Amino acid sequence: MTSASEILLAVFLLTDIMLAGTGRLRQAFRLVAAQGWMVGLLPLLLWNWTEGAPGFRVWTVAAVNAAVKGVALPFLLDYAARKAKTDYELEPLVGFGASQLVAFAIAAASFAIGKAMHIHEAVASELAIPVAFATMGTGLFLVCARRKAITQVVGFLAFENGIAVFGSGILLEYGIVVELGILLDVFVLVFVLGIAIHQISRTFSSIDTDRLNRLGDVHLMRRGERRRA
Amino acid sequence: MTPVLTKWLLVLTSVLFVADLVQSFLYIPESDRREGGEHMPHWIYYSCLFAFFGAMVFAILAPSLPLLWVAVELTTLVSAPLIAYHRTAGSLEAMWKYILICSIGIGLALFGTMLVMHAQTTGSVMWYKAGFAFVLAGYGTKMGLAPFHTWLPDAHSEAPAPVSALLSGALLNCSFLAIVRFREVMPAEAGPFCDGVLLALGLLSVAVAAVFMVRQTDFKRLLAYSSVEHMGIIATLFALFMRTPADPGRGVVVTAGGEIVGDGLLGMALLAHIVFHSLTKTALFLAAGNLLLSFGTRAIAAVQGLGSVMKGHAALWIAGTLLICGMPPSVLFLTELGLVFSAPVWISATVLVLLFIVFAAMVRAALGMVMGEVKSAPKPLPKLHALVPSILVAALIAGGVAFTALAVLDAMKGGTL
Repeated sequence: MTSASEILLAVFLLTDIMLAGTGRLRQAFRLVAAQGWMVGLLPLLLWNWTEGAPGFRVWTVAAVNAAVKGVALPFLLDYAARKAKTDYELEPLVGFGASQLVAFAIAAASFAIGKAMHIHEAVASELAIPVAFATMGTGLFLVCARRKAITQVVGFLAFENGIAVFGSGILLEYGIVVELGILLDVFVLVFVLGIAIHQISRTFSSIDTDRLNRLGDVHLMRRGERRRA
Repeated sequence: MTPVLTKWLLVLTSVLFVADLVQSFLYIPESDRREGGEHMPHWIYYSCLFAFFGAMVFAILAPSLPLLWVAVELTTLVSAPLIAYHRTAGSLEAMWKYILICSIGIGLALFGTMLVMHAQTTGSVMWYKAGFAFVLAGYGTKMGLAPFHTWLPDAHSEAPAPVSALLSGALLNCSFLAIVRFREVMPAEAGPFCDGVLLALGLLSVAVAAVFMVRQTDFKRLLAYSSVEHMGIIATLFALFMRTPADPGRGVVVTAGGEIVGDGLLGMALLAHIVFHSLTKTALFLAAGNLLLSFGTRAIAAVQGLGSVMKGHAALWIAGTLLICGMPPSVLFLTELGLVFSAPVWISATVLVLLFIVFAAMVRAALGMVMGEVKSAPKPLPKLHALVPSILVAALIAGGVAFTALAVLDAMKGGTL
């Protein structure tokens, strides 16, 4: 089943790059949803089927992963976007073309790091670790390069997906309680962020996070000086 | 260190929670009346407060490292709504920063946890080191270590006072416990690297806090930076504790497995520093909340002349400031003395200079607030509001005197004085 998992990981990398280049929120939600499904599917594809079918743990975790990351979270995001009445990321801090180039650069760097670390002996698939790094990097980049609160959440989810791919890639087994706990955390996180987005859009009549810059010491001190002058 | 720290943190967190809960009953209704505006329903506030306490207890008692991650992330999620109790532009911004910065930080900690777990199966020191670096960045964000502390001053200054107190007094310690637990599973070969990074971040935190405290204009932010400073000192103490070889003459710390780790004196200083910093900071944050309610502002420049208009709070504020700066009989004096005596000279000198800057900044602000010219008359608060911080400060002074006396007696018996 190695080849199937490698096709999946290649598609995963493709979704990262598409995510960096899209300005339409609905499309971004669909892309993270696709990533969620792939995160769920990956452990099944990496499973050594010659040793027999996987047990209850693997099936449950795969199903819950797909359900939470592929269905529930995109739904929550879509709901929040509709409540806040936004469809597009119009003026990102880094343009979409440039973002896509950055995503390519991150992917290239991830493969270089993966090669330098000589980790292939310990992992299930040679592609898994570089793809995980690329996804984490792209996610973090999106959090920094986008202005809308909701697109930052999308970036965060991509980052989280990258970590999940890394976990599957090194064949880590935590046990079912931990895996479900992690998913619960991610779910609650997006839930709380959704409520926050709703309140931010009501208070600021916008969800551009560059409005969220009144705090911070350099700024506060400068304002104090102006008042004194 | 973990078993001892776990016990102490459980007791400490419970005591702080009760204190903050009692103060919430007084503070929250009064704050609704005075600040006006939109706020979240009380039942959500109290549910989140209890859930926050539950999540912290879960984090302290978490049986395994990945479950520890689940618990610490949970503390972020249930405490975030508390910061935006009053729905203002500032509090929403603080909440957004808190939840996003801490979740990304904690995400890195999860990655670090995976690396460490993988290292435990392969035994690779490089993976251990990489794992610890990510874990330190992750839980260090939550603990408020510089340069990952940026969420902390915003969240602590915008949250209602009992929540600020709980964040500063209890939550930061839980994240520190996470770092301690990871440090203790590191193999000996990775030890110097881990302690070096911890030491660097610790000293950097004290330095950053000192810089931002000097010209601070907001008294709740001043207290928040003081927390960054003390977390820096705690990280430094812990790194020194792990670095210093155990010496039976100075006492030793024994783990649950019977293994001897670290220096007894520094271990004791570390525990005492954590406990007394949390209690003092809670008293100060609760007092700061009362000042905010009375004057309607967090600006140091506007809250002046407490000595003539709010005598009780003037005494509380000056006593709290001196205690947190480590003036005897504060226990923090002894713990910082322990740090300075046990550390290499360059660390001692750096810490002393930085602590002096912090002392000057805090005392300057406090003296202005207590003895300055009255700028605006406060709206008086019911006396009951000062009860919890007063009890805490009285207990801290009594505890400080007792602890100092015991330490002196012990030193005389051992002939080291």
